[in-house]
Amino acid sequence: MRLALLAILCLAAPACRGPATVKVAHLPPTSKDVIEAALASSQAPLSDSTCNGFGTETTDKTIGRYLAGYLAELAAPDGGNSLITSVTPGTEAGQAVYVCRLMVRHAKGEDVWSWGVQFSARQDDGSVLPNSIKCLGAG
Amino acid sequence: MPLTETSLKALLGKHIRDICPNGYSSDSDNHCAHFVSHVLGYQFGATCRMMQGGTGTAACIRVQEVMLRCLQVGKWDELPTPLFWGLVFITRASNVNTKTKVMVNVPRKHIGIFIGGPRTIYHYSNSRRQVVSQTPDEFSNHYAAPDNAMFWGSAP
Repeated sequence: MRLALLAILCLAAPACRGPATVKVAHLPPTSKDVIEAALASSQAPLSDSTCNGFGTETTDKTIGRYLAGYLAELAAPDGGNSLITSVTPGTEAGQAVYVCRLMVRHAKGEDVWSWGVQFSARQDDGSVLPNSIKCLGAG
Repeated sequence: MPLTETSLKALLGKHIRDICPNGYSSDSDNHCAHFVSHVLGYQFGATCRMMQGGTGTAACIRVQEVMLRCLQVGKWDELPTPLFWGLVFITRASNVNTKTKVMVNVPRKHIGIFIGGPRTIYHYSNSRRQVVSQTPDEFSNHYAAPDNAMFWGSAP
């Protein structure tokens, strides 16, 4: 009885629910759809090995904090900034997907960097595969 | 195979596409750690093969992963004289903890290899899109202050 009550209370509390499914708005996704899906994935943890420890602060724990760190770097008004999106058909775990990338880029003199995220959206319904999120970037 | 300055000189002027067998060579990316890792055989952490899906020898592409594996890290002006060659890093001083060898993953950070008595530095210039050599004084201008504090690392 107590367990049943807890389950009912938990279902009513947002913190107890599983992560909401993120979907891209169109198939194939547009640049705007890629950015929207990345923003909607902001609470996803930096769990992939390409992500863990690669925020601009060691305390960064989510995709949102990770991306915000690089977007904040664009605040300096010295130009050379861009957001780059790309969508490429592919397969992941046997499913047809669109591989979506959102990169934050800066290039001025030797100050050259490009960091961002990649995720896969299913071609049949646009759902973003939660475990497909990777953090891209070098340097 | 021990690192020699002759082998580094042979890389001068090369684009990263001539060095990376995995085709991870977009000029949008910063290839400083990528270059160093191919030269020194560092295959740990995030690699070019992981990013590109190639089949060639992998090389680490991230500066802070290289620093973390250095045997020792220190400020450039405290470089021990007996170290004939090693790694050189440049970023804001507050981004580096020399005791823990942790560098924060800020975008403005760079790495090269120093060698010999004059400490000639070989690194990948992302603006010139090729391997270059510089004196430590020249290298210290890679970024404007305050992002130009230099550190040395004994190679892992």
